[in-house]
Amino acid sequence: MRPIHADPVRAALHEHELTLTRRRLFAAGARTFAAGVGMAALGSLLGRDALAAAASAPQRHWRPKAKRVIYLHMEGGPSHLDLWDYKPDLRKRYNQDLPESIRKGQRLTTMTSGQGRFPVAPSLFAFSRYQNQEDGVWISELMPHTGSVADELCFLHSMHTDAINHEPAITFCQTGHQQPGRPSLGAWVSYGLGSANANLPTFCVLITQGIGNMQALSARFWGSGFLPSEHQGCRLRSSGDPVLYLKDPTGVSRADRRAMLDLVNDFNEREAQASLDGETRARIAQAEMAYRMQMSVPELADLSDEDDETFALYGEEARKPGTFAANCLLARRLSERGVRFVQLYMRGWDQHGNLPAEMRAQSKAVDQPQAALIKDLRRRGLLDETLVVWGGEFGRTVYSQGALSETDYGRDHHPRCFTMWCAGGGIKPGIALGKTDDYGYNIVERPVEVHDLHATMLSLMGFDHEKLVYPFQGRDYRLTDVSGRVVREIVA
Amino acid sequence: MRLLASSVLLALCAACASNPDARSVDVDAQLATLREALVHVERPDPDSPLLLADASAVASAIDDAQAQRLFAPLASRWRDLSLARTRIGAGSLAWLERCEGLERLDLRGCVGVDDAFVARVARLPRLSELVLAGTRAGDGCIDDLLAAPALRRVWLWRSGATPAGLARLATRPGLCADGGAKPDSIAAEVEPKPEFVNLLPPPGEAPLPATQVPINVNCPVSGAPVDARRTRLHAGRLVGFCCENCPKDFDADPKKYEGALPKP
Repeated sequence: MRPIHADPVRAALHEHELTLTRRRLFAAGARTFAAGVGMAALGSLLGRDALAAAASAPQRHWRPKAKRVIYLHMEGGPSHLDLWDYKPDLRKRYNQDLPESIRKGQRLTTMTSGQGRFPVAPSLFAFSRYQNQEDGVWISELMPHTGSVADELCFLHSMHTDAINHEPAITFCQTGHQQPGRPSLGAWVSYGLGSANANLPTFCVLITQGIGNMQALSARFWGSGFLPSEHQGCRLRSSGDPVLYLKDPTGVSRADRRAMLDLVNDFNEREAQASLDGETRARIAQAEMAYRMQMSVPELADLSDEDDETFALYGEEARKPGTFAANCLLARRLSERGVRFVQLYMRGWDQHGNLPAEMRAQSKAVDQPQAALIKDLRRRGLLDETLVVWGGEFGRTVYSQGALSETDYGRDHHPRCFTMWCAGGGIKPGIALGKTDDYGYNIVERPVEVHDLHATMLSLMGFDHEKLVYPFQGRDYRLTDVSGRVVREIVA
Repeated sequence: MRLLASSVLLALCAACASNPDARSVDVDAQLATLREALVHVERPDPDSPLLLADASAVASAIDDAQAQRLFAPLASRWRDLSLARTRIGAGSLAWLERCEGLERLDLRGCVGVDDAFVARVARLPRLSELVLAGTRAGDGCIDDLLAAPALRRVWLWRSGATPAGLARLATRPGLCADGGAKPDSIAAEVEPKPEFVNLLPPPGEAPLPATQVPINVNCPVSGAPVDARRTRLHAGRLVGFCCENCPKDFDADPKKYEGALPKP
């Protein structure tokens, strides 16, 4: 199969077709609303736009196993050693220096590169072995609820990344490239699949403020890069209106708003025709989406139709907007409404010091809701077609950063290995892949690159990651750049 | 791209040429009708002309009459239908029974779906996944589900099915029935509270103290409070600093600052 839109002529024809369709749409829209016909007619008009968009969307390369993604990104890099990567023998090496044969001269951040020694800090948390589809999986006492769904999870203990600091590592995780400017994973999915619900954005972003040290969370992490900007993620705010300026100003009726939008769109359309600027067309698309969201977002964010049992499942924190529990519940609501990609960020996993106390608090905030999300998707018949991904941008060092005691320690960034888990959406449930050495420092079995994870995610969505491309600056770009191999072992 | 869309439609027409319904349907026009109604339609499998539809954007507006208008004309083309939270009921059975290629049917939250409804759709020859969570289907359709020719998975959370009904479904080999009460994964082994053991001193050094708490409260260079994450091992003792710059000054001339440290 030929790459999607690899041919500039085809890409131009695609854009031209959309332009013509929108011209007809807005011309008709102005007449309709001037006559005050209302929403039914609007649906018809929007349908024409949707028809053109659907006809132009890239065709999948094979039958997909997943229809949508919920990506739970743990910003800051949670310690794999204190959550998922069980290393009981480290307790016999408490406070010993990390052998040079293990460290192998690996570069360190400036936060520990000047440290006098690198004392091994075993996790002070007890682990339990939960039943899964194999011999069981060891999970920290910090994640008992997650342990209760262990038979649904696929652990990747051998993830590794190229970046050692947050900004490039998150950028790499979210866009497949350490340097800013590439489209995010959600934007690629939006571009590849298009919308399954014309009344909501294809790619939504939900952010939870954590307890510990938090890094900057740039909007470019959910940006569209060189893809048309209607594919960028739409952040839903946790307080006040979920989307700013969505409500009509006081004194402006919906018909007035429609008429105003039609006029602005008409100007924009003329500009797009004159300049052939794709971004102007994207602006039109986004204005239309905002108009539709005036109806759909309030219904989405209104949790009054959720009963007490649901809040008991996710935890009472789910009643407080912006908490991780509330965002997990919202992610489920978005998914059951057909939103393709829901990106959650949980900030505050950067435990350079005071790790035990901060991880207790962070884990308490995420454990019950993320397990609830799995259970809730499962019982609604959504889990098998929704891919859930959990992980940070890197792991943490086995040696303590700064002071080490039997009750306190810190850990620095560690890109050489970390743990992620996936569930649903065509993933083999209840298994674990890959192993690290006795120190949880190097990978000794089945390394998995970030590109490999991306390739696997696209594969589950029905795309060959080498063929889902977009032409920009004279060449075809793809999410996985020149790398990536599908991790076949975890595909059901 | 228009060429691609046309080839899809041609494939559809070819695949359904033997179907009397298909010959009378303008596929292009019907796809346009669906999309104008904001129903998402796609062809998920490039090797098959069968289609997927998802009505989630307009679920609450879809009743039997709307469903008849939108979905019935392409009954033989559906492989995957998501009608979750719609208001369909018995009035949609006639066209659903003609969906012979249907493999997955999502009726989650459709309160118009009851035992009699399920009894009829369960007979579909290729239906392998059926979502009945939040419907009124109950134990009265268990026999029909057991007899469903291709059924592999059925979801019955918050339906009328009782544990006894679910237990009966579990007797059919190859059928997974999810009533929403799947048991949690059990912790087969639980560790006691970990105990740390310091068996060996670091190479070439005397045994270190059991903890690495800095010996000083204030930074020997600046006098500011110590940040426990900024430390240096000096003369066998752990010295704390206030920031990342002070250790550099200390390293350059330790003797200059030793006086500011507690005596051993």
